[in-house]
Amino acid sequence: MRPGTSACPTMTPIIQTYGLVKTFGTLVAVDHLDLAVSAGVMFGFLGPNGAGKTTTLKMLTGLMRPTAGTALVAGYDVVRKPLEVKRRIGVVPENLGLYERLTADEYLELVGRLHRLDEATIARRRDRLLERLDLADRRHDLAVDYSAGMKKKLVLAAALLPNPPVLFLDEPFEGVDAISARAIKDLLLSLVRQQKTTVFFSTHIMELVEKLCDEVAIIDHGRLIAQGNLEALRHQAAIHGQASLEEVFLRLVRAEVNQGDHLDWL
Amino acid sequence: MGHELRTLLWLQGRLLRNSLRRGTAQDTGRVVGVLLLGLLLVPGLLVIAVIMGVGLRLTDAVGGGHILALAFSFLLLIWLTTPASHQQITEPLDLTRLFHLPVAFRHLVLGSLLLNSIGLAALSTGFFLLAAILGYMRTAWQMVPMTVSVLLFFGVVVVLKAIVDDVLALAAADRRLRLLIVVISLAPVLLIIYGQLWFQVGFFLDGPPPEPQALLRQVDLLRWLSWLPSGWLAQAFVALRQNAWEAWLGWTMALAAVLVTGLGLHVRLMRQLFFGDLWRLAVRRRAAVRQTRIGGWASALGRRRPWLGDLLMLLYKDWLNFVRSPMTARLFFLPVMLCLVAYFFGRLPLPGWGIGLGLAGLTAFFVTLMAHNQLCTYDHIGIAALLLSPVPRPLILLSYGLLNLAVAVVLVLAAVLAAWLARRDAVLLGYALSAIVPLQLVCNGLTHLTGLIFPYYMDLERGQAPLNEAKASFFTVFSAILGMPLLTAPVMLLMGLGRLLAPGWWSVFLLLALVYGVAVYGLLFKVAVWLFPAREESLVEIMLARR
Repeated sequence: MRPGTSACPTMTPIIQTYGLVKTFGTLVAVDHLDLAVSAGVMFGFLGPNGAGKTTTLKMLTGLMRPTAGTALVAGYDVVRKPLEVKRRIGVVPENLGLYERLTADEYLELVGRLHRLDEATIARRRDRLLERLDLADRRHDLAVDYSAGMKKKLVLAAALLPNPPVLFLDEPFEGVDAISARAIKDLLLSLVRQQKTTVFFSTHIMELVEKLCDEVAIIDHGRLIAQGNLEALRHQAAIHGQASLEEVFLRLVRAEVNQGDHLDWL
Repeated sequence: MGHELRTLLWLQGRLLRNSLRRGTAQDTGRVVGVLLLGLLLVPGLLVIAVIMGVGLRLTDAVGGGHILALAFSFLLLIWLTTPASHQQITEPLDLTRLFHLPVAFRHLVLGSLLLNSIGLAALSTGFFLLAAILGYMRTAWQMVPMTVSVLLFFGVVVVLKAIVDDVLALAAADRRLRLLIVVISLAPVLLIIYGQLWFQVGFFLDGPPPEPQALLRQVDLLRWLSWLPSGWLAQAFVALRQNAWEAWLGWTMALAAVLVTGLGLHVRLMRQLFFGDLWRLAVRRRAAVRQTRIGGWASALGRRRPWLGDLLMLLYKDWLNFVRSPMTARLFFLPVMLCLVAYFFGRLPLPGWGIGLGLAGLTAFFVTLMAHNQLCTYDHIGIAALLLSPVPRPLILLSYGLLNLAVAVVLVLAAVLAAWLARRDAVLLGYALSAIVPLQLVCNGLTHLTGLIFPYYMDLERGQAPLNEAKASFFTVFSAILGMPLLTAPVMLLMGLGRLLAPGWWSVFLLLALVYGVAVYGLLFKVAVWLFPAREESLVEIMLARR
């Protein structure tokens, strides 16, 4: 049993939002979002640029206060009990928020300490995570000297260190090379299948979502326009047959793809 | 509670220790800088604190109060301007990076205050405050109430710095607001510059300098600084020496009130930060309309002379980058300082042509130092994209040089107007405006070369060359400082000596100086254009490596 799960008042759904709203002045970034994510699933959160994905993720991880509505993660209200939520989640934020003059070892130790893990546990999990994410050789280097992909892997390692029941990942594969991306995919899948961890991630890579996710939500202009597995999404988009997630997505967000006929100089 | 604070202290310790560590990148310059700062600054501050303490023992209660008011205000200024100036030795302990981790809000607030209370700034403040107590007290019992006031003042500076940190973090999402706040928070620097110039003009130009004790009384710093918490602490000290307990209590209570109010404000701001309620300015955006208009002009020009259209667009792009650059905001006080210096010069018993020449030289110096890190263009960040386009390279240099020249002319005009307040002299105006063109031209040529030979990435937000760029930045600044006097000396000599030796022929010498400026710029420009293709790869590499 991972730490913290026994304290969860409810187990399914593990993430719930009711009429979640976030406005910035006159701009409505998230508009009455009702979301329910079951425990132990790989959940893909999709939407065009500026649809409100990162804002939603920030609200769910307690990094932004909703203008209206409620969000519950692992049974706790993110506004009223942000600390309880943060004890039960691992986050790979949009801007990684690393201390760049710490080594990988030191950064993971910091995260482990703040999650109140004992030193032996921190050391054991840190060694295995760094090995698995191919960072072991550079563990004593300062993060400032890491590539963008390595930094992302380090933050992912930090998110996994406390073995949280819920993982929130904002574009986890951005800037990561193919080999590392494969390692991350395998790791996340094993977490979901074996540990029943819930992985909630946003990405633009449709193939990845189609391959990995048990369930998908699509938002556009801050509003939830579809949720379910691929079959359910096809049904909601009124597409029959074996249409890909990309086609379903484009239909649902009513995207008009310019065919290039206006670009007469090309 | 203790666990989180201990972890934050551990983090602070690691960041401090790692500031002395070389990464795989060659950041030796940074490590040497940190070591030098540690080895020179701390003993230096200790010596200054001891001198102040000894000085306080030799002055009477009110005289000492003036010294204290000045010293405490200096400390307050340092604490308030540190966050915006980014002049910190270690990586800043930005607590917002911990917001997604399970750290209670109250621990973050306590941590922000505790961690600000330790470190080099706190240590040096401690030296000064201890020296102030030991130097100013006359009986042992005065130490206790003085310590109470000092601790409250220390709390006030720590909380005020935390508030400035909060405000800068809250404004981080809005470029305009962030720049505005940086400008406001650095504004106290102006007070010092203005204050010391006023002091010099008032006391040294208008007669023989008075005795130090009389000078302190005449300046009456204690009264002038009584609107600041630093002045209140000095007033509390003076009250104790004069056995005015009610007054001491009043000033100390005022410090306590600011501390409590500041704490409340810090908690409020940090809560906004904690919940991501960042500040934004509502600004109507007009740039797109202006861009279309300028694009239209560029197309019209480009039909006749394609290079003219390109140059206009490059100039517009450089101008936008110049006005939007955080570097410009951070250096906002340079023109103000130049104007103050000009006013000061205007009052000196020197010939107008000499002052005009001096102001032009100073302006060219300022502009060149400001521009030396712009990588051959004001579009510092976008240089890589520019170099991946087929835009003619000479035009990149030319646009940059033209903008530099325009900035220098505007600055010198402002300086001349300030000098005009002190002395109505047309010669001063004529000389300043005539000299700035050749001076800035040769400096532009120099900047083209240094930017190409020692290119480096400048973190414009922090005004520093980060980590591994220290060596290149040193060479660029060094060659600019070394090259400027060498290249500008002929202009100064032609215009200065010409005026002295043959006053009737000054226009000929001015023409010669202009010809020299154009010729040197032409030569250096040619060398830069020749060098450009060989350096392009390095420029792109540097910019891409940092993005």
